[in-house]
Amino acid sequence: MLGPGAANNSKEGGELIPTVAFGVPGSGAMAILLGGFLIMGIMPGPDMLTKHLVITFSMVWTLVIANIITVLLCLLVLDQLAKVTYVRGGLIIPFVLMLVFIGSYTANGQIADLIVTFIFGLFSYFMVLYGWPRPPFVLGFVLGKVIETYLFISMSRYGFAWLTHPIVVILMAVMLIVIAYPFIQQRRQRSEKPAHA
Amino acid sequence: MHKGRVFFSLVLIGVGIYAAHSAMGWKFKGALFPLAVSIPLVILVAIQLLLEIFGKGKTNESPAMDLEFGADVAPDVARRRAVGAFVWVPGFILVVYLVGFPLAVPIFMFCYLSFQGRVGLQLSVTLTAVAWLFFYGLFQRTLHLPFEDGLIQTWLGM
Repeated sequence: MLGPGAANNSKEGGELIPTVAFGVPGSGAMAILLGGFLIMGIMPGPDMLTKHLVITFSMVWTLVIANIITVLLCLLVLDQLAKVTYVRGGLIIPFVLMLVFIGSYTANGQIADLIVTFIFGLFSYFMVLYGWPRPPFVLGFVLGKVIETYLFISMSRYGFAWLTHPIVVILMAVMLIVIAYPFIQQRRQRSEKPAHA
Repeated sequence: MHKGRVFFSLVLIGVGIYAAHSAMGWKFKGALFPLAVSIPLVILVAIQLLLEIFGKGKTNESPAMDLEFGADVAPDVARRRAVGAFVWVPGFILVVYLVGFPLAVPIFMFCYLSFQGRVGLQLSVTLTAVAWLFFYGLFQRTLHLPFEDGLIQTWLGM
């Protein structure tokens, strides 16, 4: 229990590095955190390691203190906390729905936000049902505004010529390799299986 | 071939085509990003659809990136629960629209616990009271969040 638990917690710190330094979240939770940064007007990037180092360190220390508090709490009331997992879903669902919809309503104070939340909740349900991962969707949504701004600047300044710049070509090649890698790996595994058989 | 997955992919392609078609008529600045998103979306989902139809079963065997439905609950039961929860949400939104959040929260909590959760009257009332106290104490008294009146209060001039 301790080993997997420690490993699970330790990845949070690691995920913060690309999120804070490059604005590239390492997981769905970090994508949501990045969304929070952008809402609060904090722009992730190299400035977070120079100008806004105080904010970065406050996050680091929050993580450290949170882990210490978690350990102390678990030592004291772990048995009681474990009982929460036995609470029936039917009792938790209305509380969760209430919090979700209050959260979406308080953004603008409009009923339309509740309808949007419902539609995207339904969409996410089908994504889970049919095996479509949601973190990339959240990532696209959170980074969309930044990408739109810089895409427009690039197109206005260079036209389609920006696509031929060396750094862009290298990044696109890396992207293609990342997309194609699972298929290549799968094909390799398939071809190895008959050889072993 | 999984019919649900094929249908979901077709819906995504439809959304992508609609977005691209709508963006075609817009000015360059407005149309650039929707087109940059919708055209690759249509192409990639079409590839996914072809793999789904002509591929050999499930193509993605990489580690899970997202939550999956638990295996300890039968798929039919899990689906019934999810559908049950989703059916209640439009009702909740309607009640919020009619009477506003402060009244909608206890009404929704009590109705959901009594009819969907099949909880006894005493526990339903207790949990509703706890939820309302939490809502009132945190969101109204502590955070002072503004919640608009519902349609009925507006009509009655309350």
